[in-house]
Amino acid sequence: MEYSENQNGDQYDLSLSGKFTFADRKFFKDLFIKIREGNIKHLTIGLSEIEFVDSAALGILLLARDEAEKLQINLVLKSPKDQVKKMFEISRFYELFQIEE
Amino acid sequence: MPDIQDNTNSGNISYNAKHSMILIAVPSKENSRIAQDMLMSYGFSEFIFAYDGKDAMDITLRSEPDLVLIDMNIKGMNAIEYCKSIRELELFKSLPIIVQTADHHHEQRTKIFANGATDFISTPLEKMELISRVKVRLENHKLINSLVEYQEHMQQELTTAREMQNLIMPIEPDIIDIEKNHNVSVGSFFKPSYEMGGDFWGINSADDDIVDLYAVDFSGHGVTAAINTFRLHTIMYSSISRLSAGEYLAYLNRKITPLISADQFATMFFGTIDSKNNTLTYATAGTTDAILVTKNMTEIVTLDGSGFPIGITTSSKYDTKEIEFNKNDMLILYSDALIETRNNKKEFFSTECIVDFLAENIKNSKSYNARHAVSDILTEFNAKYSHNLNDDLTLVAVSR
Repeated sequence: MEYSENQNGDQYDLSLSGKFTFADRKFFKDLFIKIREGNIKHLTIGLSEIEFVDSAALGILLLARDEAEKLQINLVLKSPKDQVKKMFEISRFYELFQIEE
Repeated sequence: MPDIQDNTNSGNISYNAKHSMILIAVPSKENSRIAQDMLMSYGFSEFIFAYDGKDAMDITLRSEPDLVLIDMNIKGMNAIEYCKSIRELELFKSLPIIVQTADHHHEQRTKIFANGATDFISTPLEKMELISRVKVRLENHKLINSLVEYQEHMQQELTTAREMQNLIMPIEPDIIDIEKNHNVSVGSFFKPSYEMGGDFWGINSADDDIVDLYAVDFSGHGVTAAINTFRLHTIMYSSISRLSAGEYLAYLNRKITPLISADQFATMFFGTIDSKNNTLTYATAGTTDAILVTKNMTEIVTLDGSGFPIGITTSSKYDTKEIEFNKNDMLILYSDALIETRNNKKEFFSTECIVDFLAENIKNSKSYNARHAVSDILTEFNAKYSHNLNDDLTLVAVSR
């Protein structure tokens, strides 16, 4: 998985690309350390360039949801496509997350 | 006298190299004295000596030294012959053997390694080089031995755990009982990707007309996922009252959610075949689309597997769906590994592919049942896809 980031005040935008799997746990762990210290109130995770997610990746997003709730951060997942969108639909992620096209 | 630093203190590996027994096998007493003095100056204290190759062999077998320093051209049996013979014995497969030689030719040194030497050293010996090589080889040897022991121990633990996990899944005699008592055919396959897996499945009968079938896939792999299978299984088998499929998933979800961390969840299919009323009632929790072969095996449809995976939030609700399930109908459940593994052309064995594949096989067969379906799908999968498999694989089918 590759990523690019952009912070503007308390808004933090993350764009991911490639395959999002179990291997990316550490990245998200570090991300939340950064967010905890960074006074962030809005987190957007862009998924339009992600071509594949496995069940562990869904787990990582659920963990992010949990963390965001604890830190009172507004978490938005953006533009899931193809297999990612399908996985979100199967797992009812549209009801668990704020997801924007 | 400077002592040898013990640099191998990591975890439970603690080791003092200076108590190692070193066999020095060189042709002359004078030369062996030089090597011994050099090593003693660094704290090594236990030595044995041989002055020809055959002696070196005998002493090795008898005294089992921790390291051997042997001269390339020792009489009787040269170092290459010594290495070759000693490596044939299981006990000495990893014994550190350092060959000393004045020969600087590349081919000669390659030949020394090819025959089982661990390292070589040039003569005349240089004190610091000799000490470094001996020390490094002893430490490596000890570390490797500790790792091998640790690995063997873990292997045993995992084997026991895997046997425990197999016990929560139906065994062949139980399956045959259900087949006989309920006039059904049951085909199944389960293979964890690592030692242990996050998948499990089951089939039970409450009374003569009712057969419950379920398949579960916990997120992640390995020990964590496997422990969760035990947790869920315990909850499943400690609930007594009969609920509808949807209520049952909601119940399991309520129970398991507080027990597992936020990133862990399970996808699940739970269905009940009622052979009196010819129905299948089922509920799904974010699982793969089950395959239903129906209308006397002339039609194949898929059952939407969507729903909240269980273990995410306690409030999740699940719909109970009911469809006809008549004589000759077949239900096939599978974990996502079946449809998410690519073949060499990077194509998936998608649900659509499986449906087409099944249709073809059913057409060419007189009486097709669940055991045939599982065996056919598995043969196709193993032939074209399984070498890329890195997830637990479960495949279960029931036909009436």
